[in-house]
Amino acid sequence: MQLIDRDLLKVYQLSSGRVFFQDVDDSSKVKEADSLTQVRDFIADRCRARQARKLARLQVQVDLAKRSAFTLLLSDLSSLSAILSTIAMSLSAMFDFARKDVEVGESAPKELLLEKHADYIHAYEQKKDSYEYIMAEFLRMSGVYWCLTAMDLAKSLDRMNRADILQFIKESQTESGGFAASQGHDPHLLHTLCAVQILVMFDAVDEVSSDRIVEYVKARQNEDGSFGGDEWNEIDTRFSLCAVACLKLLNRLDAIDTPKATAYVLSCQNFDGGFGTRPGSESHSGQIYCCLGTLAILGELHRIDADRVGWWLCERQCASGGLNGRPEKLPDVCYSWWVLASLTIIGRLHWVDKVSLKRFILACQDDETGGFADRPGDMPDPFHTVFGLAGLSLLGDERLKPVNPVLCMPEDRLASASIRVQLLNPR
Amino acid sequence: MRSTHGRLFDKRQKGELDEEVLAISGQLLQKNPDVYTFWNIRRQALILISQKIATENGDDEAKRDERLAALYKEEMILTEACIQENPKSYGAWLQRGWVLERTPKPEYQFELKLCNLALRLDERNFHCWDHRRIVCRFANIPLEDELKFSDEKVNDNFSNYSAWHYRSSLLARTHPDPDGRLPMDEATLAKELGLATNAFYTDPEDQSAWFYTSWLFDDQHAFAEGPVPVWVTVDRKKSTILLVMSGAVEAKTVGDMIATDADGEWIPADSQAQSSQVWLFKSSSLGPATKVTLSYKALDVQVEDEWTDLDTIRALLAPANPEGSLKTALEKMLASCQELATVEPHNKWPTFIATLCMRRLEAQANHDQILSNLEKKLPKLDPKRAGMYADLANNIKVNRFLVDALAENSRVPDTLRMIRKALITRPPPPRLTWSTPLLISLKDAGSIPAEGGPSPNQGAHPSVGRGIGSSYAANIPATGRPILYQSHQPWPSVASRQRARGAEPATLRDKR
Repeated sequence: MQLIDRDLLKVYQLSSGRVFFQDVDDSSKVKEADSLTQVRDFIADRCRARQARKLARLQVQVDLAKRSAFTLLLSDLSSLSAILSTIAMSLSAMFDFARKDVEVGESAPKELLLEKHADYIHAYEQKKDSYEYIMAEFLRMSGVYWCLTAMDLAKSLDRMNRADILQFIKESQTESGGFAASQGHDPHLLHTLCAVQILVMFDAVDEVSSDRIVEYVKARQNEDGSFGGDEWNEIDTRFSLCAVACLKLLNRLDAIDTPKATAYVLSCQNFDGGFGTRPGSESHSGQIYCCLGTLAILGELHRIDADRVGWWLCERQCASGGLNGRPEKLPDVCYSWWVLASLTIIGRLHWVDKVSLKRFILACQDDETGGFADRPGDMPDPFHTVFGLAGLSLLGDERLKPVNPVLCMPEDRLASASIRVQLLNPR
Repeated sequence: MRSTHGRLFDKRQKGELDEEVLAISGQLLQKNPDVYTFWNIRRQALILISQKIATENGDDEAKRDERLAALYKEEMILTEACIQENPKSYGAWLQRGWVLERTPKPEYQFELKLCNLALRLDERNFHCWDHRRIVCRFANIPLEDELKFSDEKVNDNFSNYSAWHYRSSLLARTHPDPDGRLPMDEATLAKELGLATNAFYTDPEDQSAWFYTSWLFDDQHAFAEGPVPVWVTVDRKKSTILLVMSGAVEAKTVGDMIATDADGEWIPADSQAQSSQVWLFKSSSLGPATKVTLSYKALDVQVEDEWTDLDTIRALLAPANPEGSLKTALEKMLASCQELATVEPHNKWPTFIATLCMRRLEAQANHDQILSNLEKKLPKLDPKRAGMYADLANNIKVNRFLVDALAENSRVPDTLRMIRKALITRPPPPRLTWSTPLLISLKDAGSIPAEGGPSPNQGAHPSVGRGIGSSYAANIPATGRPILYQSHQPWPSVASRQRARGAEPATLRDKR
């Protein structure tokens, strides 16, 4: 069941297809609709009733890894037919949401369009004057990491401009030793990890001062073992992973209190076996990935109930084959990474149906521009591209390099640097 | 946009962290609350401005607090606007928490109202839930009040995983089980079983109530006090000590638990692990006369060849069935699930949860029905999770094998000998836990012949062929040697561990 708009009505659709709606003005009655059209007409009547207002908003909130609101604006009530057609177009999107799943259409891509993706990422790097590029300044380091990892998995890293990127990285290191998203911005663990990952991929770690990086990471650890993202100390288990992954890549785990780091992560474990942002926070696939990754790096995977969290994780698979981030949410290709990597870390990759998952991931490709979108039919971006490719790599696609499920980097780069992490063996 | 941005950075560089900086950054953040650097600059400016206010108002505490409160109130208004723009902006929510810590007049009730509003728009917004938890901590809101809040949220919409989750963490603290075994005290547990039943009857397709229900079946038994030793075996010919714990521990705990004059070192079964359930001590000097002492809490015993805590092992493999009112509540739950399964024949949830419930009630008596569900019914209803159902079924079969093999009238010493032999030859794969059994896979398991019997069909273990399934016989390898699990890496040698340590000092060194 899912709420569409509390102001207007509640709409539910069961997986059997039956549609129910509830008029919040008459909330004692749940009515069954004959069809979507009936609900649409009901909404249209409501809009007419609200003609006094210039603007009516149907807000549908979709939980993605990044962007949040899908807003349908009914801006001009004088043009009712335009409104109705807008509603009709968007209603199916809204009902996808109501079903908490998407359709993988017949015309969706079924093969891996690898060259298109390499071209897409390569072109992304070139467009330095684009509005998008400029506006993304505050996350550029992460953006570069997503692009490079995607290219390396696609065995095309040499198409990227190594010299420019290394220059960019050096310019982004700050006095504190940590790295910022780009020059001028402030350092943060997220971007520090990305910088180190890129340096390892380019085998250029010795081109920066790792001692200073280690000092920055070490300074982020709190008394209780948690890690703050930066000097302002936002605490989040994401940052536990950033910290230990960074140090693992630099072979300097000795710099922090690892037993406390472990204890803190374990204190974030929930009733369902999953992990959240902080102790008491709800389980979320992304956070689970971060916590399992942290435990893997610290060699503490045996402390958790792998069957329990494995069950929660494999229940992220929807009827379409895609994976969502939490119960009753839409599938998203980036969760094909967070969930799949988590399952791989605990040796339970075989607990999802690989065929339908692969079909879903491939359907998220944009066969015109290249790149992957969060779900079929949407606009692609580098974030979803790297995680789509990484997910396919975990599923065994041989055109891609094997990817490490903890560090989200090609295994060969880690092997060259003699980096190994704990994984639980599958049966 | 670029020039405003430029001006902001410019001012910061010059150290001009003033009201203009607040104005500019406020503008920029309203459009994109995710630019973390702008929030940082704002905080720097706020700190300086608040310091100025403090010095300017020196002795007049009231005036100072009034001005500070006004300053931070502006901040709250900005963050509220940002949250409306992007309800999932880490930066905006973080800033609210930061202000609450600094303002002399925190308005906790207002914060809770804001959280309520945000949750009405999106009841799954975890930023909002996290913020609520922070506010409750600052304001010392009693847990019982929050429990009532979760009550409202859950009753408002049973499909609210976030509310059920909150409930789980609250109940564990407000109504703990005095024995530490159940998720909460028995009386509350019975009530929650009823609440969960209402929830999954209202919406049988929603995962929330089903996951919550499965948690209600928890029984921590021996885990409540942490891992305990269950088996120590000393091989004075091979100069090794094998230790099996009920849960994972690190090297230091092991070293504190087992004292010996022999030198050597403890190696975990998984070479990449810091903590493990199974540890092997490899020595060069462990002879017939070497003392090996196991000390744990009240336990203090010299181990000659072997020490086992069979009672604990048996309790872990087959915990006591629930009795009394808990049993009644669980039976009611089982009946509800089974009834719902007939009404919703295509829905796997009632059947799966019924299976878990059966296991909780009487795992051994319900063994066949449980297996039938896992092997036949559920893979049909829910093919995507066929891999999981197969693993669960396997675990249950092997668990049963061990229960029988270690039962009081059976040939326990033989069984232990076989398991030990296998464990020392090859370390168990890392899935060794007591919620899944000691031996990993029935498919991989061969028969376990009597001591010294190499032939697959001679001297077969009494439990072979005893209704566990013919899969046993089918998997006996041609060589006749028992294979209890898939072959994995042999135990790392001390030298290899030292080498590995040389490469990655921090990961393998135990921190004494």
